[in-house]
Amino acid sequence: MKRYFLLYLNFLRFSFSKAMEFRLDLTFRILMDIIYYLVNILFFKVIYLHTPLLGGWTEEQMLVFVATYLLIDAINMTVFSTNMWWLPFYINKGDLDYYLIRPVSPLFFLSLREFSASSFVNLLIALGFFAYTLATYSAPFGGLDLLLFVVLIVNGSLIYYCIQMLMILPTFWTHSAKGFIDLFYSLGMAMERPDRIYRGWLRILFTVLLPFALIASFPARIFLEHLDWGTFLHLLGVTAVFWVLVSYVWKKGLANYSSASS
Amino acid sequence: MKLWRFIMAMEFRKILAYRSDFWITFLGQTFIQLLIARALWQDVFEARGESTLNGFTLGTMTLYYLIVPVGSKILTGENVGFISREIYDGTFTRYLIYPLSFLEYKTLTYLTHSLFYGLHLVFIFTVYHLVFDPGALGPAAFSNLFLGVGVYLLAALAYVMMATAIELLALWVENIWSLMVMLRFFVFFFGGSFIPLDFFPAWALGLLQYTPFPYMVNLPAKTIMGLLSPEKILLGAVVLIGWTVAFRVTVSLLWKRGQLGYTGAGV
Amino acid sequence: MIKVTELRKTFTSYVKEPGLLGSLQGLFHRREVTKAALKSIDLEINPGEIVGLIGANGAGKTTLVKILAGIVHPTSGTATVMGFKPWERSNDYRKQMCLIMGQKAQVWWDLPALDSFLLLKEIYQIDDRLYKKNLEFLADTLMIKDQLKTPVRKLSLGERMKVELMAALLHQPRVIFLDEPTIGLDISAQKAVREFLRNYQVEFKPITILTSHYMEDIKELCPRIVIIKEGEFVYDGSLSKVQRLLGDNKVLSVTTGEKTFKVTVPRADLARKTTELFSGNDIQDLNIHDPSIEDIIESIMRTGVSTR
Repeated sequence: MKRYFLLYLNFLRFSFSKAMEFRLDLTFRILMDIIYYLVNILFFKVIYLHTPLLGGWTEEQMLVFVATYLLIDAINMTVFSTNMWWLPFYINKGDLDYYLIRPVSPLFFLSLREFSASSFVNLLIALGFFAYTLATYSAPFGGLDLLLFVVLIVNGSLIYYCIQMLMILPTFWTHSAKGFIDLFYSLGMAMERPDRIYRGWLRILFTVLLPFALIASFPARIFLEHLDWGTFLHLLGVTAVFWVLVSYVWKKGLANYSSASS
Repeated sequence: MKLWRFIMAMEFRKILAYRSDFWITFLGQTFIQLLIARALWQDVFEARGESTLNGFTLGTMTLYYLIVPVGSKILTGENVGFISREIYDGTFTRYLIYPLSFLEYKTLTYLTHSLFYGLHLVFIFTVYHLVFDPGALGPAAFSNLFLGVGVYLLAALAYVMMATAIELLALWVENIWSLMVMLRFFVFFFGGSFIPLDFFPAWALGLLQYTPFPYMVNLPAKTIMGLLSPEKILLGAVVLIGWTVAFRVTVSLLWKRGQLGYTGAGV
Repeated sequence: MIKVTELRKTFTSYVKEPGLLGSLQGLFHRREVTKAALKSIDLEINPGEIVGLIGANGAGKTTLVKILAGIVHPTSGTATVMGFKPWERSNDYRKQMCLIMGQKAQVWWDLPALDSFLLLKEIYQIDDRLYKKNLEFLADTLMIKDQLKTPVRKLSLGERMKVELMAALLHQPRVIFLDEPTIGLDISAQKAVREFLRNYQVEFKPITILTSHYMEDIKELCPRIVIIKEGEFVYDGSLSKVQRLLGDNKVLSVTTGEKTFKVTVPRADLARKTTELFSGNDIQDLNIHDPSIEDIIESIMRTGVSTR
């Protein structure tokens, strides 16, 4: 455990020294995410011009939800996204080789190696926005709520990561996962909507099969309405199940890995 | 012309190269945004307790979100980085020694992707009407469809020029990926991909008509739905051509200046 | 010690008809082709041994090395390296093994080599003293001390290969897989790398498998060679005895007015062939000698073992 922690510190050191080399890129990326945040807020502002309620929530409640999913998005952008971007190329071009021969879990290495220093700034912005929406939110909440929320935010990021991995891993068999990865990005929108708009089989799809609705919508409920312990444990259980699934498919994939270039 | 045809055929083959990719993209592009947007609007219609909002029923709203996601792919054609990636790794220099214009080649491969999604749009639109609304499938529906896809292709031409102008900045700065993503946000949000422009406040629409964005999404989508008069379509097309020319000039300037300063990657 | 029995590996791929129509067809139906990269391989290597693996492109060299390094799973058969099944990838095995591929870099491109080394130190849990000692030894013998603080992308190809060697050997592995370590290097860099590998072998006595296209590498480093052709071993034995494979042949190097060429003939036919040559051509120079190792291996890779 301590060893992996030390390794992660090394990754952080690498990323920050690299980010300092490309400063203009850093500026652009920060700007991009700010615009992304604004577009998301504007989207719901426009919707609420025409309706008092969406998915059962008022505009004020919706802002808390928006801040929640932006926060989770920022965490994923910072911790996983660069790695997830490169992984399918590594699998396809046979660049996994050097990761597989190291005495370290390759999944750990490949998922966390590239910490995105530029997104880290945006994580701070997202955190600021979240604090703002919560501070201006009219209903009261306690310290325990905040603590549970932190747990569920981390949990949500892990669900997101697991689903993304499940979309990338088919590369081991299909040799190009562009289709699946594009699919993942379109599906990502499902997490940016309140879960109550999904009904019937769409609800089953987004809460059970591809549980995007569990990522942000349920954690936000802690502040917006009551979240019972059963649901809380259910959310943690889903992550565990998906993690087992990812590990299993990863293992199967490696057995099928052919390492390009003869 | 023969070379053009050959390049386009090659690009088509590339699109079809991985069959799982093809089918997943086909289904994903057709249904996911549609389902999520439809769920959202259904909720809004119910919250308001009305069947018509700003001229849209849930049915026309569904049709709108059937058209727009595929339409967005017509606009964005090839991937982000279709020029800048080759500038970073230096492979674009190989085009400089071929007797072929680099920009012409890139525009052509880009528009091949657009054309591909244009066919995709024709296909799903036809299937949609056959299944849900066979009565509306008259000659008028088809002439609107083909007119609208034509406007989309015109919009794709304007978009590729804007995109090229940004991608060429890679001749000066090391990474423009984030700028391209910003361009997408602007076109999709202010063009009406996320929410139809009819729901924007009037003052915002007043401002937006001076940007190219509404002409790239709202105009072609509404043309396909048969909601626009011929005059409006014609006027929109002229505006699109104007923007295309303006960005084409910008591209020429950037290309001329940029090549002079380019030092080449991978010594 | 490495022990391989009846190891097989097959790959599956798909063929597609040319043309746009073929592509469209491929969306619905495609034809599967399997290719055997390794067909029942047996191999035993003892501690301290260094073995040269020779074969044409696509003969299966790299596949074999990757299976032994634990990267690729075999289709059937077994292999153990120091008692470990490589593809189970236990940390205990990976800590004692290294793989160097001339075509794929492992050190981080944008950072100085020393940064990469520090990360590797953490990964392999090399203790401080050993790390220092090995770093010094490697940097000294490779004569690259001064370049370790420069970003790797600014190093020359030869320097980069030296850095790769250092990165791979810092943890003092007991099994070394070298896949084309001298590819693309100039003559003097090739020499330096070879020299280093020989010294390292003497100093630490690891098991080494080396694949290379350069016969010089093999001749200088490997007393024992294995020749692989289309997934099968056609020779496994000492380098010096490989001549026997082609039986008792002689090579005639002939220079006429127009050109120079070589003819391989069985010793029994030597007199007849020589007279024939003299009568038909304007001979300016003629040498009779034993076939070189390069000649033999090239002929084995081209035609297989014809005369045994």
